[in-house]
Amino acid sequence: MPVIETTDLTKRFPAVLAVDRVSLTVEQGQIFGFLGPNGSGKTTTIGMLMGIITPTAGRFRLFGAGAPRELLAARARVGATLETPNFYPYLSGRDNLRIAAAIKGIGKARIEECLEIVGLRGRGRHRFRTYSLGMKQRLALAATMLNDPELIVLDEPANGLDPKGMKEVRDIIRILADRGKTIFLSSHLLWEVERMCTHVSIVRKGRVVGTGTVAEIVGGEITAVVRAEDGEALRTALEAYPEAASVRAGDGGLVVALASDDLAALNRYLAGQGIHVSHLARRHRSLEDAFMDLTGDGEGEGEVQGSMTGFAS
Amino acid sequence: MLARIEVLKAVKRPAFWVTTGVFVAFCTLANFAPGSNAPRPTFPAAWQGIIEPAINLGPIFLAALMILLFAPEFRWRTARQNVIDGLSKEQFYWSKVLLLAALVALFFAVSVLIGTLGAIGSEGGSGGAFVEPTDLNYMLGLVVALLLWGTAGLMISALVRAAGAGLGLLFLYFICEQVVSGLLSSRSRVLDVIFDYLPAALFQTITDAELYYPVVLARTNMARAERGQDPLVYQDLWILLVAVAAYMVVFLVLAYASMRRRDL
Repeated sequence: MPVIETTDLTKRFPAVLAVDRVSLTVEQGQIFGFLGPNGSGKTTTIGMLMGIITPTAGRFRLFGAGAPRELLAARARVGATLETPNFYPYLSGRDNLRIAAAIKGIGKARIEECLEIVGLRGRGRHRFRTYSLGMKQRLALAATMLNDPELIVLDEPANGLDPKGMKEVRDIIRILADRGKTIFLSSHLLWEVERMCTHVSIVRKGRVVGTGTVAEIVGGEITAVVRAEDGEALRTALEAYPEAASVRAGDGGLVVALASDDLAALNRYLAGQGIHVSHLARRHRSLEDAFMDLTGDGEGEGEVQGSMTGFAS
Repeated sequence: MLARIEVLKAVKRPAFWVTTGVFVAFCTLANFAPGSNAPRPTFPAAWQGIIEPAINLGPIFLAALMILLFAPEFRWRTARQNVIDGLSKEQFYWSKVLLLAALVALFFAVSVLIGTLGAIGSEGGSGGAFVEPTDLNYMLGLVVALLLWGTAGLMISALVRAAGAGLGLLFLYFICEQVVSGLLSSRSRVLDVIFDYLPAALFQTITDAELYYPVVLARTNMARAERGQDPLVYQDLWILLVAVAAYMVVFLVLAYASMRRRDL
């Protein structure tokens, strides 16, 4: 039985179609990355799963439960935080957890345990408004852990954190993953997601444009980074190269997706076009590359999307 | 569980202590401040003086406090988090209804307690029972007035979702209703009846001591007659209470519908 299952989930606000027929399946034990640019509908989708936003159409199930009363019980098995940590600013961290614990029907001892796990036990009596952003994020993680949930939903948990804070949050997520929790993680930090997640879904303008294991999404495509003095001429030549699936600007030059592994042939082709490259290197395709291609945030969007239709839902 | 959560949220909120403290100070001043040289009446005659200050200002304080405690939950997104943590939207709504009931009980208890302490040891007793039926009606009027404004505060919080704008709307409505009815009254009998049953006018009617105490009404009408004014005539108390109850139901239903239908 999937932990999360959505079918054609749709949310239309008066001015915008925020979520457009999103269908997802998250199985138990997966660390599921939910990726997309700002405004792509990630938070709205999570909001519908958590019962704070009413879907316009479609349906979803949590732990197999779909009816409103069943969903309320199913949500007791979920720990979630959306966007920024949402707590009472005038209450201490501990009192904020007391409220969450009362709602979840959890005792005081567990509050102390969770504060300990996130390293806030010493600051538990201080008001939430005095916390740094990193501490607020850690308190939000503590709140999600209170009921020892089977599913943890985290929406941009590393938002606004410095590298140290990001590492702290990442370590906590790893601890939770090691304990066998199913984690549904929305994030912009693609390299983090690539390192942590087993599965990902990529959304763009409310629609799922790619879903699968990280390996499936990244794919086995061969890419190369090419630089030359005349960048425009290089781009024109690469776009005309029969073995090139797509061309886009990337770190340190143009990134070309190739149909074959023969970089020497590419070099010969470019030389034949009168272009002498200053840099030509094979490059491991990352989740970021796949994300850029699928969301159209890279240059040469049309060509890229044409080459990635296998991922599109 | 809902009550426990609301108590924790309220008692740690400075706005709760400031608003309640101001109300307590007001009741204390009204009951203990040196006034005329005339001896203060003892029970049961003391009840009118005990309830009167509370019924005139308590409901406004309560509505403001309700807005201050409820509306920020939307700005802080804690309403959203409470639902994510496991409350249904309906349970969140009922937690606020419980909060309202608790605040009404608190304001009533504070008013009666401070007034009673102020009347202890008074001279000039009027004899009779400790409390007369008219006093009980006046106390009922206090509870109803607190509930009317409390439910209005609850509705405004759920609809406006911002404390500053909510408080502004509350007071603006109060002023606007009086200005409009002042400008248009006496132009039509139907309009007059409608204006009499608008929320602010109804609130003022049910807080009038004349409605509950025939002696006070007679004294007021005598004074009015001396000034050449028409005597005051009140509807039956129960008709007014039904009208107030109708408003409360409307306020509660609107708040409930807003909580259920709108996204958090």
